Amino acid sequence: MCRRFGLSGFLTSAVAVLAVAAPWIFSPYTLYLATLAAVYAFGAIAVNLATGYIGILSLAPAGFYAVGAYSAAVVGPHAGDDLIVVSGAAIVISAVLALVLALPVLRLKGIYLAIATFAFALVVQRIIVALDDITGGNVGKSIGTLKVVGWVVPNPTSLYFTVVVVLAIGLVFSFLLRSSASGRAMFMVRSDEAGAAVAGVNARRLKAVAFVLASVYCAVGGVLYGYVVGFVSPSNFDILLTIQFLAMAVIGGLARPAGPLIGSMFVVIVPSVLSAFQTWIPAVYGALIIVVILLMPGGIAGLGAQLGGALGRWRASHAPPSPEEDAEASSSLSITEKKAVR
Amino acid sequence: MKSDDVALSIDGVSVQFGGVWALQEVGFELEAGTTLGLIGPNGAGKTTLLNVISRIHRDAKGDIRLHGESIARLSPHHLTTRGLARTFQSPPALSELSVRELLQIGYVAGQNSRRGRHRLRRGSDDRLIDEVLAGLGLLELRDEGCSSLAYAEQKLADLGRALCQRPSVLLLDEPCAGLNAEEKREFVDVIRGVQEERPMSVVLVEHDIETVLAVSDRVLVLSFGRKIAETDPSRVMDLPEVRREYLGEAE
Ligand SMILES: Nc1ncnc2c1ncn2[C@@H]1O[C@H](COP(=O)(O)OP(=O)(O)OP(=O)(O)O)[C@@H](O)[C@H]1O
Ligand SMILES: [Mg+2]
Repeated sequence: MCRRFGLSGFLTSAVAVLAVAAPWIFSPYTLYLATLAAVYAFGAIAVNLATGYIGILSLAPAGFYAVGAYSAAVVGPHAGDDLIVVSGAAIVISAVLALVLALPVLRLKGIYLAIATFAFALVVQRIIVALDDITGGNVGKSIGTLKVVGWVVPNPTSLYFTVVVVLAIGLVFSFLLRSSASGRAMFMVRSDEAGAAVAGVNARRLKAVAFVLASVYCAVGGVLYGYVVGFVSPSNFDILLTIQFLAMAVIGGLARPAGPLIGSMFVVIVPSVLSAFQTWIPAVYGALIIVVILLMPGGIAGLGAQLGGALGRWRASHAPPSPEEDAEASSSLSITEKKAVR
Repeated sequence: MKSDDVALSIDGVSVQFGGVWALQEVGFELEAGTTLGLIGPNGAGKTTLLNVISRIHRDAKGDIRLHGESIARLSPHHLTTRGLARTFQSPPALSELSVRELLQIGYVAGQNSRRGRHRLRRGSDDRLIDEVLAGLGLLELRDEGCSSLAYAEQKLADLGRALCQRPSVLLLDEPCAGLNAEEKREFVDVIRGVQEERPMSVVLVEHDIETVLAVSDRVLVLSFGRKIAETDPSRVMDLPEVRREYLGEAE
């Protein structure tokens, strides 16, 4: 256990310390990027839940993210731009939509499921354009200043901390889910749906739960995105946004709770760090992503387990083979002993 | 036989794949607490029969009753709540779960069971899981990822998952494939140990004839989807079909 979560545990603590110290060590621009990375992390968590935990390849995240952002734009002005009220509205709307979508769509698998969910995201975008009276259509709509229970979030630093607190709650929940009975069942569904069903798991219901949860993460992220960026237009929520979430989740480490955070930092912040390379940014950045994918199948968060496994194999291949024979002596426990030194 | 004593009854089960009958009018009754060995050559329909009983394969003709209730309308996950557990011929490749987590899944499935509802105090699930792991010799591997285990160990872990359900009916599909002689003996001990403690009926699909004869109360022989015999273990080796299959005798 320790070995499995060792490095990702260390990385998570490092990120936590950095997260708190960020406003004092980073420039305003970098702080803005960090805030942006944090709001994108919600989308990456959503991908991690749906795709990483239970294996639904959904291309809906940008659609639900739009639902959240437009809740900020449309509901916000009527609700005093209060985080709780706007998020509440976004959560309810996205959960209902996700549930309605889940019923027909989750019967599909693989690429068919991907296309069907992509269609949903497209429809959301078109509806936003069509309802231009309230959404501003293609022109877009500006968003007010965020308040939290009457407290006006005054400056970038407090906005940053507001986002970080909400994100921390979301991350803690996704960690708890990972080690819960439902989380274990989700992982089994991902690997073997028929096997999971035989093991007593209601795979269809669990997929719907994961899909709705993922949508809610997107919606909350979308609300915060709206207030961080201050302006939304439909083109912000195209397939590229979903691909970015997917990239963050995969680079960070699919199926690992810490993955989305690491992945979103990587995707948002690394390009700005690379700005020294000027014109070469896109190429260097692209190459970095390919290197991560090639060398780290478990993502950055999976590096601990990967190194641990490699170390174990190295040790095994260099260890003297003697204990095996001792194990044979104590007859009734022989399996135990033998396995222990395997 | 009173229906109370029959854990599982199968009647007239037929399955067709394309034009081929994988199972034809197969039937048997499994008495509570007993073990039925199910043998037959490759492709005889053994796995298909287990798939029908566990409702993975759903378009089979015939009647299947678990503790007297028809399971015709149930999904696989409903069956765990009625006391059924099963293992797979090839264990599921579970990339992100540890051995302990796999057994916890079985334990939770058993907790929801109507039969033998045994809400235990918090923490005692660990005790049950550790007991099962120890019986299977997997205790030291409980925190390893399932997919990092050797094949035989993965099968044992899957068996552990099924045992943690505390099932009343357990279907085993070639549990001994890949085990060495010592491990086979331990497998037999584990099944016997559970059956001594509480009534558990077992359907054992297994090519290792010695193991089948050691644990079975009855043996059913399938060939090309047909039941060609059902008999006492002591008589199995008298059957010409079985002698041909296992001893390579000419007719
Ligand atoms: N999903 C399927 N589609 C088509 N044919 C199938 C399917 N499953 C099984 N069969 C066929 O049904 C027959 C019975 O197969 P089954 O797997 O039940 O045999 P088995 O007795 O378990 O064999 P083995 O000892 O090799 O495991 C075989 O002829 C097999 O090819
Ligand atoms: Mg088979």
